[in-house]
Amino acid sequence: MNIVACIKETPSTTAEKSFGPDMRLERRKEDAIPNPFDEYTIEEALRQQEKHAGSTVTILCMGPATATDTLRKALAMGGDRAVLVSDSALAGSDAIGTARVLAAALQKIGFDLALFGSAAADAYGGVVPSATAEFLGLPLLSYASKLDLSGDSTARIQRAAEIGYNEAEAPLPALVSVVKSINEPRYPSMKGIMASKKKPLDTFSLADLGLDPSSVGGAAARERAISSEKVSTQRKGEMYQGNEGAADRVVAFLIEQKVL
Amino acid sequence: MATSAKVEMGAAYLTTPVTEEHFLTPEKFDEEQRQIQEAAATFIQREVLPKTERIRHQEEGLVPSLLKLAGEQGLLMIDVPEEYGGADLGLVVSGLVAHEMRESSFAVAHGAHTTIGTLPIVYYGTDRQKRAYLPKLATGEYIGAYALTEPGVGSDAMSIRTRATLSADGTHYILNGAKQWITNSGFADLFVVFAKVDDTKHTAFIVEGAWPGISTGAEEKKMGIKGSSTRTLYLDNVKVPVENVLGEIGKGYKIAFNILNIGRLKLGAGTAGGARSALDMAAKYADERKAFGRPLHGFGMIKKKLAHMASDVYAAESLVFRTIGAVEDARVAAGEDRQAQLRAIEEYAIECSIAKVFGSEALAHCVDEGVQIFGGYGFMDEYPISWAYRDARINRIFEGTNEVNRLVAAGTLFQRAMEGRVGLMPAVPEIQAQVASGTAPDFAAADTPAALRESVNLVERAKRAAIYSVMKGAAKFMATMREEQEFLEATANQLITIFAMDSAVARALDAVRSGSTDAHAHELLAQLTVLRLLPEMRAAMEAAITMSTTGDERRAELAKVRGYLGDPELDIVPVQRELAGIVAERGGYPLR
Ligand SMILES: Cc1cc2nc3c(=O)[nH]c(=O)nc-3n(C[C@H](O)[C@H](O)[C@H](O)COP(=O)(O)OP(=O)(O)OC[C@H]3O[C@@H](n4cnc5c(N)ncnc54)[C@H](O)[C@@H]3O)c2cc1C
Repeated sequence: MNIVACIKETPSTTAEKSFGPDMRLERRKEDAIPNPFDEYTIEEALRQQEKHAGSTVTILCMGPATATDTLRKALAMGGDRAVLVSDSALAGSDAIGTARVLAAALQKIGFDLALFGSAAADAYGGVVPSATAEFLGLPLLSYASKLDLSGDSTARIQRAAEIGYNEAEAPLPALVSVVKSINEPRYPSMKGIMASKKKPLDTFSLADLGLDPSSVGGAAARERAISSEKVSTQRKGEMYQGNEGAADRVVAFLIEQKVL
Repeated sequence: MATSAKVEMGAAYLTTPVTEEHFLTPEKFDEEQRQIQEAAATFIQREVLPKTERIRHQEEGLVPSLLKLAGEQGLLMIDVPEEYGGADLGLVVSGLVAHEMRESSFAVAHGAHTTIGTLPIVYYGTDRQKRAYLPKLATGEYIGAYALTEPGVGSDAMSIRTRATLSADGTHYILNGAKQWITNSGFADLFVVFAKVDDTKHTAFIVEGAWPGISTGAEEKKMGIKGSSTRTLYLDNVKVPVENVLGEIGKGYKIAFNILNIGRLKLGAGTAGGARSALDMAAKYADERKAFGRPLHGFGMIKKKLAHMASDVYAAESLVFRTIGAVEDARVAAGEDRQAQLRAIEEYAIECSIAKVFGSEALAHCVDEGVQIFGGYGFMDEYPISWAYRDARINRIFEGTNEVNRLVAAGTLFQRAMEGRVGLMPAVPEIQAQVASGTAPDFAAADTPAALRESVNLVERAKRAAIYSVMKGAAKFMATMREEQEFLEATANQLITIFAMDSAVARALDAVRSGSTDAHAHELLAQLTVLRLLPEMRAAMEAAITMSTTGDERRAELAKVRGYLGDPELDIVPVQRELAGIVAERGGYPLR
């Protein structure tokens, strides 16, 4: 089975963020990491590979040419090879443009199962998996908290609901987006890091994918960021002090919050 | 992998100007090195620290299982050549991994296995021995240990009494004796054992733990480092095949001494990492704990402690990684031949001893002040700082006591000066002229950042004043030098403080010149290193002069060198306060 984990390069969550005049996030190479949500994507790909002997895992990323470092970091967790789609014409792509590119890349790579995170830590659009499925004309099982592949033909997921969970299934090839509760990602070991250096990493341009540069990138983007504001991280706290009634007020608070 | 363009020679720092050009700093690690550093840190964070309580109670089988897990992840194969199942990543990476062991006493078990348990075979083993043992040591299938010390013999490692007698048929040596305080002995599968053949020939043997005649005594009840097993190893007519003689008969002491250089350097890295953990713990606590209505780090005396701890870590890391970089370059430049590599490493024997002494003493200071910042809680078992305090103490004792390492540093300097391998003598006339006139030129190059000009000048004057005082004593004591330990100690203390100041200042110069976003923190850290260590250097220098002079000459000489060395203009308090502010704001050591 061919499993492809689609990941994004994002700035580290702790990095200082700044925006260009067009409200595009300024990305610094030093701060780049694999999207933290995609650690779950990669982990799920690796677990499915462990369950299905003979499977291969490809890690796919659309990003700047320097994203090869991020892909090596991802390969340090595991996987057989990586593909980077990079082209100067891609700068400024919106979610639909990104999906168009990923769909073309997935088609070129060939896959039975394509995994996505539920969102990226930098933009939180969460649109890419469904748009990619649409371009491919294939089913998407979204927000999976559990994934089972029965035989080599069907994917079945659980999706957490307010009470209990829903189950859904789709024939392969299919796309699945995963949520954090699906697994506990492994951390890259030293051996994994060493092995990652030797794994094949291919770069595709738009021409390689047969895509017209005017259909992607900033020129084709119809979605624009307008403004961005820092949220104050000051949290509201209430202090109950002294012996007089503090315990009762804490209990009352907990009842109000439906904790008790 | 070469880390710098030009190889810096051992002890050259004394006679060459401060420069950042030729050496490795923590800011210069490459991507792969950083990734492996992070992998090691994650391993400790996820697999080891959560089990601290169980490690402390020495739960049976726990530490060996962690060593095996470390092996699965590759953390035991760094120094092992690729053809024997290793990763052969070199000393920079193994130093970084030692550094990331932080406050875990698992570090001792890991260090004993990967350094003194494995490296003797890497450097001295025959191909057959390497094939038989290195792949197992690289994965953790075998845990290694090193058995030199005996109940009657510690520092004086040449006087061991364990005997090795050749069997009548010439196929085996029969080993008899006892080895004391052997790290990992409770679960080790392989011991590098030192014994004497025919009562005279100091020789190393590879001995498997499962062989008949091997046994261990009860687990020692130690003050700290519970993560390592420490027992007596008994050898009762143990038959060791002649193929398991390691190196040459009669040359075992060479193995002991040469591997120690690497061991000391790695211990320097480990203790620097431990000091950093102590600071991180203390800084967090100083933020959380309030007294008289403010966090502890609001008080000047606590600020001073935090700032001094940060400068300890900075200086330790700077000199340790500088030395590791130089040693690794020299090792790589020496080619494939392992003996040539060891000779190249030996060039840095002084720096390796300094790394061990400075690192272990910086750690001692940091855990001590760490406990103090925690107040009464720091004295309580539940607080990790109390264990860091206990665990730290051994580092000044093993891998050569700090006394022995001071003797090595000073003794090696004088030996090299006589052989003309360090340019002390040629430097003397100019220094004498400068000291006599009481004036020094401005040593700072035109482009030296303003904040570091004074530090550069103080360090340069300190080097000259040190050479002056040391050569004065040498002239007096040359014939009896071995018996003049107080003078050797005063010499070593100058070597140590100057190497620390020089390394810190050079690292800060590099940070400023390369436009680091942390440049200002580097400046403060280097300034404080100089402001703190200069008085120590001065005391050692004055002690050396005092020992080698009397009466009027003494008064005149002291006045001259004091005048020459001069005093800093920079005030220490504002430096401390600002640095402590950064420590408080970042919740620990200011550089990440
Ligand atoms: C927990 C632990 C683990 C250890 N692990 C190992 C191990 O794995 N393998 C191994 O072989 N050994 C091991 N050792 C032994 C350790 O290396 C020795 O303790 C150390 O070398 C010092 O020897 P000693 O304790 O006999 O002290 P001594 O040599 O008796 O020294 C006592 C004091 O005298 C000083 N002194 C000695 N000689 C001189 C001198 N010439 N000039 C000035 N001062 C001097 C010392 O500095 C020290 O302060 C371990 C020890 C401990 C406590």
